[in-house]
Amino acid sequence: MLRVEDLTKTYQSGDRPLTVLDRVTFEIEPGTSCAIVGPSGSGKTTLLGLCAGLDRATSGDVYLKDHSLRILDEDALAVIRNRHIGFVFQSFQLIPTLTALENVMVPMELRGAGYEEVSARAERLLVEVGLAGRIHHYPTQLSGGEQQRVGMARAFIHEPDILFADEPTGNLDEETGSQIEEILFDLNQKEGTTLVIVTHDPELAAQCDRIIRLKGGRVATDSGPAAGSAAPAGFNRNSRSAKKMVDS
Amino acid sequence: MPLIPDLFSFKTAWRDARTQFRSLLLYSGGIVAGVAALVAILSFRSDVMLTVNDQARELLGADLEISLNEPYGDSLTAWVDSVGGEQARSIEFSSMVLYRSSNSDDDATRLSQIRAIDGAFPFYGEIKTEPSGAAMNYQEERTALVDRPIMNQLGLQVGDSIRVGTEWLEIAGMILEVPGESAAFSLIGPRIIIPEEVASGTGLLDRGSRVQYKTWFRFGPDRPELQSDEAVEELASEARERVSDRRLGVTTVASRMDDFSRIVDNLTKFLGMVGFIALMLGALGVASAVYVYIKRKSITVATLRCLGASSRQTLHIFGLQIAGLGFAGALAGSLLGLIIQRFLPLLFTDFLPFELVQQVSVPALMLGFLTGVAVSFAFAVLPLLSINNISPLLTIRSTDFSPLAHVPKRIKATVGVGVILLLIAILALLLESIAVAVLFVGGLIASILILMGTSVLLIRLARSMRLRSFSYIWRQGIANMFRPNNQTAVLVTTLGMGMLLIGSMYLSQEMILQRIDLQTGGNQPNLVFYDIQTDQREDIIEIAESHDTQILEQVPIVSMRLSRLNDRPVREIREDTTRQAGNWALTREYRVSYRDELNEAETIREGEWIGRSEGIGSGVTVPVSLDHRLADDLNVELNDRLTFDVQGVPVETYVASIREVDFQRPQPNFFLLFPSGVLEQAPQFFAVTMRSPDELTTAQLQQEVVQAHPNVSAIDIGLVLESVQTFLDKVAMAVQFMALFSILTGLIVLASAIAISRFQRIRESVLLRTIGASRRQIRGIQVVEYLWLGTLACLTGVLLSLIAGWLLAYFYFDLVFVPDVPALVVASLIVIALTLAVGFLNMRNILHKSPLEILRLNAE
Repeated sequence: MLRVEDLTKTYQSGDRPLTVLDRVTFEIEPGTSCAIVGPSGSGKTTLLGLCAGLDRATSGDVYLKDHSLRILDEDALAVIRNRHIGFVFQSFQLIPTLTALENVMVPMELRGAGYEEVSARAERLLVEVGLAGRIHHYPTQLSGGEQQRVGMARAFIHEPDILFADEPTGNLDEETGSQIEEILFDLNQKEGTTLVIVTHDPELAAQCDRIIRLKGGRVATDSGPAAGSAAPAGFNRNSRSAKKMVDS
Repeated sequence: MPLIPDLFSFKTAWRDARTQFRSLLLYSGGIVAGVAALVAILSFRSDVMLTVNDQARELLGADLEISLNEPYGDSLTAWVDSVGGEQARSIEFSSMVLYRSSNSDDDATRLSQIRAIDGAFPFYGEIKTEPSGAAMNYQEERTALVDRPIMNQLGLQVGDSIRVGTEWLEIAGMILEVPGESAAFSLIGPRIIIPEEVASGTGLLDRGSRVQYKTWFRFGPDRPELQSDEAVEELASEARERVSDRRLGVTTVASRMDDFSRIVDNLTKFLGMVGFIALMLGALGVASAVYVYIKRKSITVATLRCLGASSRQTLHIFGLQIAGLGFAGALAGSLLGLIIQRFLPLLFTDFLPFELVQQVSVPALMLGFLTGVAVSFAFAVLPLLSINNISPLLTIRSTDFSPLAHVPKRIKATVGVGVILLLIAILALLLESIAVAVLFVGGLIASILILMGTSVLLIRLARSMRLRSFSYIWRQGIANMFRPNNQTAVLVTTLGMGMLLIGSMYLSQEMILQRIDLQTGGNQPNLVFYDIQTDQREDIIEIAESHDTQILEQVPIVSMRLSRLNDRPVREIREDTTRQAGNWALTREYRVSYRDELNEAETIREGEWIGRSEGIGSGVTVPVSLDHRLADDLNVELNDRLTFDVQGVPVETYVASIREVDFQRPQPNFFLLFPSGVLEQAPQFFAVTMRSPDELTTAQLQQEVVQAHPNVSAIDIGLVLESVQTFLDKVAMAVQFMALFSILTGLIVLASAIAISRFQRIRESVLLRTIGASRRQIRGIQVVEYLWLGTLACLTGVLLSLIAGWLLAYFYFDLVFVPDVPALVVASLIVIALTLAVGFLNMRNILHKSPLEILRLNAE
């Protein structure tokens, strides 16, 4: 699903180059969840941005469903994002001037889908995330947790192949955070989406199939590749998938 | 990139705009005043043109008018008789008139414009009088019609009398309106209408006065061949050709319309340009608002990009909104313009010779509207293009996005050139001249850059001031002007431009008056008598001296015409199509003086002044001096030979020197100056300049001279000054009214800037209240912020208008620049008060928001 090859990102800091990511390589299998963890400044967000085609690497490449992101221009990348990628952001990033329903509909409308066609699915998703009574509210009329639920409904509306979540619970209290995690993983499993989460939260990371730990721009540890619901060597034994397997 | 937005772009543009209509409209408000000014002026022009077309014949009062500055010769009289139609005649001249009011013991004298009419003029329209109908009978009753301003000023009533020359006439009516003449005509001198037969009895026509002899024609059904404009035009050309005297003035309805249209065109173009400045400033305000808007929307754009929107779609979404803004602003401006159009004629009441027919002019409306849309969009293009540079990465990595910093220089330059070309194209269309458009846009850009530079300097100065000793309220208020995304420089520039326009206009007006005043102060003459015959001179001097009035100069004047230039007869030169000499210079009646020395108003440019020569008949070629403008008009150089016909006697002269003459001085000056010793024996008359000690003496002296010598005219410089002041006031009011639109634009841009930073301001205020600031303190901080803003804007505008004033004073008016500081301070205080009022009006709700409510709001 996602292949990262020798990915390097260097910024110019004053007159010295600053390497934020240094030859990072890994591959994530479809339908699995992966947490990218590490201390501040380790390159987590940079890696997420490059994987999602939000930024350009200095060298190396990212392959998303075998599409090389390096050779695509900005508008082709936008098409890839719209067809294959979903996002959940730490600060929710809802469009403040659109209602909850309209925010959720945006990715499908970008594909040219009509209102009737999309609104039913968007409403269903909003009900699923527990916002049945808040469908026509604007973001400023919603709490942080509610905003993040809208964010998740938006991330799943177009049935992306892969979902990138940047500290999805970072701006929420513990209880709301847990509810969000619950919804995130539920939707992920229901929709069969590959999930990549950047987080500081060890508990959230622990729920993923795989944990990649970054340090100083390099992969410090990698709990190993995982495929589907199988649990080969290095598979995170505490993950939801593993627990589910054990439960079954 | 496809230009037509897709459905998603339309939908999202609408949805995004829906919740912020009010603030979005305020952003576009900047152009409202400019478009309103433009639509009002263009509609006014259209109204005037419409009225002119509608009442074309009333403008002239006849189908054809001919005029000559001497009695008609035989051939002209024969031609007039042969033309036929209905005819009326007049003799028009300026003369002193003595006004005797039954309400006052003292008579008053004024240099007045006499029209002595015989016949049913005007054939079209009517002379409106009070009582009405007085114009029907004055000729039979041998009475006079007298201009309203002088009657009001002197308290004259119908039944009182005036004396013109030696004739006493009863006032039969007050002149309210004369066809084709605006009320401003009275500023030249009171208009008096009398029967023609009285004029010949006044004794004024044969004693040196400048007299115009006019004939008006109306071609009724008995002349079917002269019913079309073309036929009358043809007749007019025939008059010019058949009458050998080329000084004949011929006016047809069409030519009067052309003259009038040209004047109105020039006036409205000028005022339109002042209005265009407001539009440019407004567009600058819109551009600044769009810049901040795009900056604020950067996260939304980044999110849309993350969700898969292409750069084209995001550009279209916000492009549609900005275009919609321009559209709404231009629409609001156009509607406001239509309202102003209703009231604009009030500014020009005294300059319009008719009651204006008003109607909505669709071309004027469309031109103003489209100009508004185009200019506002053109100015917004650059910040809009920066949307393409917003990275989706902003969603996960919050950094400050500076729109323009990301636009490549090449694109900036291309857009800049494009905008300038567009402005030139629009202005060229409005002004019908590419050269003027280029100059105006160049000048305007330079002024805006200077204003911006000055405002940035002043802002930096305010910022760098060490304010530690000031109270917290002062420090915070000043710091607020420099909050992120502030528009202080643009605000100071727009408000400052308004101040600059008003200030410069005021200072120029002051200087024109000061200049006239200066020329009449000290030892300069304040009273000039002219048309004095040789036998009247001694008596007039005696009268003046008996009133303790100092005689400054006695200037002899001799009339002559040019008959040959370098041995070629003038008639031959005039028929030569390749000639370079102007008609006016070849045919005019020269009024020439002679003396030994040059006066202080004259400086030699070329050649040498020779103050003495031999008399007529000595065979000596006389060395004369020409003003450089006359030399240019005649296309002559030093040593060229000119032969003058001095009332029948040819006098050979050559150009010995070319002078520069300052004609603005009150003493008589001459284009052509002879040395002494030549013209002493020629028939001549005199002008005498004097300095009377006070106004009362001036009035008494004029009265006594006019009583004794009715043909002598006087110019009372004090009255001239008053007339000039009245005239300037009226013109300045129209210009300042248009300049007010720039101030209005500045205030709207201020309101829009406050709206843009509203959330930030609310948060600041709530934060301060949360940590214990009282409402009074927060209000104090706001007062300081707007006080400084207004002060900086006024300082910028006043500073630049003072520089402009000083430059004008030094290089043009040749004055020591003493600006009217109190007037500028008062104007500044008004603008500062308006700034404060607009600031408070837009902030009034902020103090009423509860801190909790704010803390829950997202950072939109």
